[in-house]
Amino acid sequence: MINFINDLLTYGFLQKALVTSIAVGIISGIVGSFIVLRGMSLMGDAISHAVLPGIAISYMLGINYFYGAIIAGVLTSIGIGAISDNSRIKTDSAIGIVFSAAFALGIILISKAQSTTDLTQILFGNVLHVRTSDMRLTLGIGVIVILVVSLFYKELLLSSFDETMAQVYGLNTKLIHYGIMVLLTLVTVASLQTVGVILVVSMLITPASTAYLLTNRLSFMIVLSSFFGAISAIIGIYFSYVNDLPTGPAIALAAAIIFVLALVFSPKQGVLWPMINRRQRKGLEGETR
Amino acid sequence: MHKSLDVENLSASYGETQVLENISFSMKAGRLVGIIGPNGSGKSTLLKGILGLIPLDTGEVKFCHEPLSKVRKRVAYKPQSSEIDWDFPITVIDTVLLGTYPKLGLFKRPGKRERDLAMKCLGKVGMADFAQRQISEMSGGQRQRVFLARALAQEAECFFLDEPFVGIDASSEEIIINNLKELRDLGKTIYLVHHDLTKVTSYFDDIILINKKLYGAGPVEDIFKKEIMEEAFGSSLSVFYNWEVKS
Repeated sequence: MINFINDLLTYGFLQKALVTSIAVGIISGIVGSFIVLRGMSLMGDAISHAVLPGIAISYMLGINYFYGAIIAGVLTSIGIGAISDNSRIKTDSAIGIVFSAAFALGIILISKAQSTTDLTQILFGNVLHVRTSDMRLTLGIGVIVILVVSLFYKELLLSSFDETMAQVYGLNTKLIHYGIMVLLTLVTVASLQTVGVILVVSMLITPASTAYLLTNRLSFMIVLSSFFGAISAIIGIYFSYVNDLPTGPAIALAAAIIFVLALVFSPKQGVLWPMINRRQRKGLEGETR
Repeated sequence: MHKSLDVENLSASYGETQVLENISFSMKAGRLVGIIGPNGSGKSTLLKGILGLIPLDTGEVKFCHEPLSKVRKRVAYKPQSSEIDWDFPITVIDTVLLGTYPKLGLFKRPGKRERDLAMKCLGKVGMADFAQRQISEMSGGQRQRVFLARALAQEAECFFLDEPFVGIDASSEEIIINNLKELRDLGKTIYLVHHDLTKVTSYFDDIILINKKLYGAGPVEDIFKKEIMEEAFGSSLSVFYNWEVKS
């Protein structure tokens, strides 16, 4: 532990890695809360995979991968909506079809355009190679996400909880839906270096689900979710650095372990307390008999 | 008395099946109106059609001679209980506060005025003591009361309530109907989807009777007659209502 802190103070790359991952943990915790409550987890997985062709084309054109990823993310969500709205195909199948096709196209494009090492980096992340420009991009995305969510918190809350009421009083719920898709794409772009596209979904869904088990208020759920996201990032980086493990999977596992702890020990939603209560009640019944 | 709601030639379908066929009526303001019909007769669809929540095949809807887009903020809607995610992390008071959102507009957060209003509305439905509880902890009747409080907090002119009396206890039902009658006496108009025929004469001023087509719309005493009801319900009417005993 002391060695890790020493290295953290000495090496710039480790500081950048830590700052970026914590930022990613916080951003994905915020956006993930809405994804989980709106039942869009699968959509989150889809969008994060589907940005791949956008990134590949950006590389080919020599522009920042940020733009390509955003365009690919939005096109994917529109494509999924178009299929499920206009045919008898259900949403989950539409998601599966569109994102696997986009992902496949992305892999082919990248393997044609670049050497394979880049592909592994994009798929699994490589947080210890974060450049200053990547860190700035992540922090910039963080500012945008926090700004958007705090400005439109009311509308996000209402449309997530009761979409029909939102529609009746004239909120454009379609626009909100696609707005969330854009946020989702931003989170994916921010997470590329840290956990990679394949594991983005774990940062989106796992900390938010952990928070969902522990609170009855959306505002507090968002705070908790960001906190768990950040903690998972710190734990993941620590073990990844000390034990030479791949960083993305280490962060994803840390998030999953925290989730399991909450699932077992949560006072209201956990599985442990009801079990103990049942035992006690049985015990009491036994004594009175 | 001025017109509150004009519906002309409203038709709607789900896929290939037509659910509503050329419905036209015009209702007065300041009335408590029941939307009545057998199961699957399109009652909820009519409500959704009026509020622009589903695409219409044909039809035009006017509120006080204005299109919905002009009066949205004066309209309150309560969806069916089954359409709500009761596990959503939201407390009773925050649910009622949602009712103040339409008038707040973008970027403005609910403040003291809105909180006071929400508490007052919760008090009206006898739920003030439960303000800080989570909505999933409430019983069926309490949930309906919370959503009525939310509608009250919207301070609307027109209320559209989908099945507010389903799965609730007698005292909740009484609290809700008394609040609705009070609203009506203040000049508001309330439309509610309802399927219990035994309460029709005691609850409503007007009814809209549908079963895919319109069978009648107007004062209860004109529409709630055996011949008209039998036409709409067919032979199943006796299952819902024992006419001989009542009349």
